[in-house]
Amino acid sequence: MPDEYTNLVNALKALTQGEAPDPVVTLPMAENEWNTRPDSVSYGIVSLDFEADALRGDDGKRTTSYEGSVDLFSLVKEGAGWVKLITDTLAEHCGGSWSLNSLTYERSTSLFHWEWTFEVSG
Amino acid sequence: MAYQMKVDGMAEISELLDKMEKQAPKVASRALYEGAGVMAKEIREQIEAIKTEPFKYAKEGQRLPSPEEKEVLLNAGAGIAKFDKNSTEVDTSVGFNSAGYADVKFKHMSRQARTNYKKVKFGNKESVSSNAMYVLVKHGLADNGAQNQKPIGVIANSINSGTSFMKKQPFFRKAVNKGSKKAMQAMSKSIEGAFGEYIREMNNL
Repeated sequence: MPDEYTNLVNALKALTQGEAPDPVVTLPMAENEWNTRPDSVSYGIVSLDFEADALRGDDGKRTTSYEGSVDLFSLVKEGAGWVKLITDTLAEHCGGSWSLNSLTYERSTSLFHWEWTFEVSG
Repeated sequence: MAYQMKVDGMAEISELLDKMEKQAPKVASRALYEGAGVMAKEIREQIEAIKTEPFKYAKEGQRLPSPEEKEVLLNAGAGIAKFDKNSTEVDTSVGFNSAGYADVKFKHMSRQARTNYKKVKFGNKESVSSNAMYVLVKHGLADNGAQNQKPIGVIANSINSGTSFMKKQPFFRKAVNKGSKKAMQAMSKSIEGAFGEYIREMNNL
């Protein structure tokens, strides 16, 4: 497994196992470590997009779920092995709460773009 | 020993159920329209919340959409597709699939202005005013016809899902998350309103 990828795995693990003190901080940390690498064939972006739902009680929020996304950009149609790594990680850490939202091709950059969305409780 | 049970009003109930069945497709369409309206309103609110910045070429990293691109989405609205009906169901969709094409004009420096800007003279000085540098530039494949236009669905998707040069702002997913519960409530209310009269009549039998 590539070194930079462990940041994404660790972030998802921390979020889904309730170890993350602040999910809004945790994922951008992973994003900084696993972000744009212009010289590489593939690169990814992970982000926590917004608060999806909240259960309220006792004058406060009891649980909150967040919706996030993982974006993979690759010059290779098959994603150079990253597609399997990402889907395996999402399946392991997010159970059934994830899906492939879109797969598009950017004609101007020749990049394939996968977008997965997932939901985690913070 | 045989028992007999007599129920009054069965004929009337049967007649009311027949009427409801005949009304059902119309009621379902109306409810769906109400629900789709709620979703369209929610999507518009999320479009209004999209962050923008003046257009720039994103050579490194990602850019935000320009105000002009946001304007295109606001003007297009989130259209409610034509209702697809058959004998048992009716469905529609809300989004930009049939929104068509739009001219997108960015206020930024043209290639010509960038090449020649040193040659522009104002009085005795060779300088450039900001107004001279920035011109309206139409982006597209050609200078004529529909080819010069961008599909509105593509603009919406590039903002919602992001690209290698556009920072994502998932306005559509957010709208669906926020609006689906409200849409369901609006649809339930519409159905209850339409069939309420029949239900009250049945209760009075």
